[in-house]
Amino acid sequence: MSTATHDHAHGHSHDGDHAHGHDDHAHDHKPAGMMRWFGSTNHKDIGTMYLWFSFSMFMVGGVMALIIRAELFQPGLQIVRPEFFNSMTTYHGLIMVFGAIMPAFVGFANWLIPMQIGAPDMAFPRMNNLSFWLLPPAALLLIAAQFAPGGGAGVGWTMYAPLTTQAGPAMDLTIFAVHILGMSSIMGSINIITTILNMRAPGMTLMKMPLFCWTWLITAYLLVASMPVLAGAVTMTLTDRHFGTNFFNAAGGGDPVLYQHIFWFFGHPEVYIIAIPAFGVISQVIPAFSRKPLFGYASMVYATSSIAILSFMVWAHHMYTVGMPVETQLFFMYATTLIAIPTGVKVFNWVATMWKGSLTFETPMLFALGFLFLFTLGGFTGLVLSIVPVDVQIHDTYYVVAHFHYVMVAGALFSAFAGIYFWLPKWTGRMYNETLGKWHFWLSLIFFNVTFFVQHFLGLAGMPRRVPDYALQFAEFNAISSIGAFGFGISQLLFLYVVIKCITSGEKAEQKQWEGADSLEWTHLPSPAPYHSFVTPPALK
Amino acid sequence: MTNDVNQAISEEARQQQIKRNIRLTGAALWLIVAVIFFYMIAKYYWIAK
Repeated sequence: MSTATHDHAHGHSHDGDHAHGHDDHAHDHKPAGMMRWFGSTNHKDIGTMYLWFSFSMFMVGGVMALIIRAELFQPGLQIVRPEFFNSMTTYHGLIMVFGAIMPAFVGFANWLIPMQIGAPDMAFPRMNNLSFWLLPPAALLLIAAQFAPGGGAGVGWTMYAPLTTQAGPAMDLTIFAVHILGMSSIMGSINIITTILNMRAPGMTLMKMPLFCWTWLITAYLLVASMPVLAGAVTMTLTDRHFGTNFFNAAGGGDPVLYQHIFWFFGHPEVYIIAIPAFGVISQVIPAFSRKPLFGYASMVYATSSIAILSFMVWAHHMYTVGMPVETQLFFMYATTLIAIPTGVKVFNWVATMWKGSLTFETPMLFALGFLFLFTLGGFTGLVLSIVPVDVQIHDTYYVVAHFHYVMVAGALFSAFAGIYFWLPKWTGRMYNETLGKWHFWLSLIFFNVTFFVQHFLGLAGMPRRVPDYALQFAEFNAISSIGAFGFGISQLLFLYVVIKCITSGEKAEQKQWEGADSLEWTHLPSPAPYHSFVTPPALK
Repeated sequence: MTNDVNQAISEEARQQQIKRNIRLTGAALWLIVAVIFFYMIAKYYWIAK
């Protein structure tokens, strides 16, 4: 809140747009020592911490994925006990969703939203600090859960009752971690909505904002509406476990299926909480490398809003097989297929943006194109799964695992890579190595498909998910998938090397490193972006 | 001179307005979060008690 009047404290006055960068540089005080990070209220520092935290969690969740794939390399039990395997699938999911992907996009939001709307910082800088610093303890709780008596809770990332009401002490650590992660997300989203609604520079109307800001505004509303629902679900699980309630206990008059309804009322919007900021990044990258404005800006805003609204009406497609009236199944089937329309609008607009553009294929654009192809493929398999009679056959099989990894990895993660390569020059003031970046893209693309494409076949052939052992006929595809997973994992070490090399010894980046980039951080701020930017609002036409 | 003073006053008023709006937006959003959370629990409490 203090930042709203920050301009006065500095007492500058200048009219020229480009003057800001130089002037900001002159007053670019950074706090020294560890307090710069622990006590930070600076949106750029907090964004950086979010991104590094996200990468650390990506590594932890990645190691868990590799344990899963190592066990599944051959049929039979070779490496881990089944209980530990279940724990790995659970915490891989929780850590990747809540610890890696979501914080990555909150990191982007922190770095970019104030710069793109011409604001000096986020609306609630201290709450911003708290929302970040809640994350490490939550991550430690999730990791500590592995060492609880009886081991980690092998309940799946969806934490279904009655498994959760009967699981060991690790479940309490997990519930507490989810509470903290949810609180952090709620704080982050309140900050983002408040910043965008109140702190845009004069002249920056909502419909002039870069699409990344729009996608985050919509996502933040999704978070505000859905996170308390998850918090309610895990709180009810907690009271069932320890305080004598029977929300989900059938023996006490409760209903375990109620948990599934509540969870997925949160869980489906959660898919879009992850995907929509990814759409925002892609909507910045594709126009920049097509050297054309985004095709159908307004329709992108309306399509994104439609997706967000529809996401609250489709939750039961995750649970067709629990037993529900056919009319209910039909409603959720039709509502789900309806989402293909606004999603199609977005894909069409991205393709139309590229149409007759002066295209170049630097690393961010390659990842954006990888996203476009593979996310669309993941969307199509989602449509397949939305059809009730098909879903009844392939529910809880590897087809579902393949589907959501196309959406989460090739969708969200590739988009995050596109964004990191795109904004690294602005964040660090240095360029990454383009050749190595392209290597990272091609290795990721190939190994991703080696890992997950074959899982469609495994699912269609009937291999269930969340099993440490399987029938012999699934052996070849599982071996291929495991080889792909290790290749994908190792490729990400190359990404770490590229980023560190960029920060330490990259060539100096220009203010507007990408010719086609036109948002305020490129047109008004030098590279690297100064510690305090837009202390007075930029003059916009 | 008068113009400068007027501008400074109006800028000050604008900043105060932004500050108020930020507080109001934040409070409204926290209220929505609290209502959803407690509504969830209360709605299903009759099953659980």
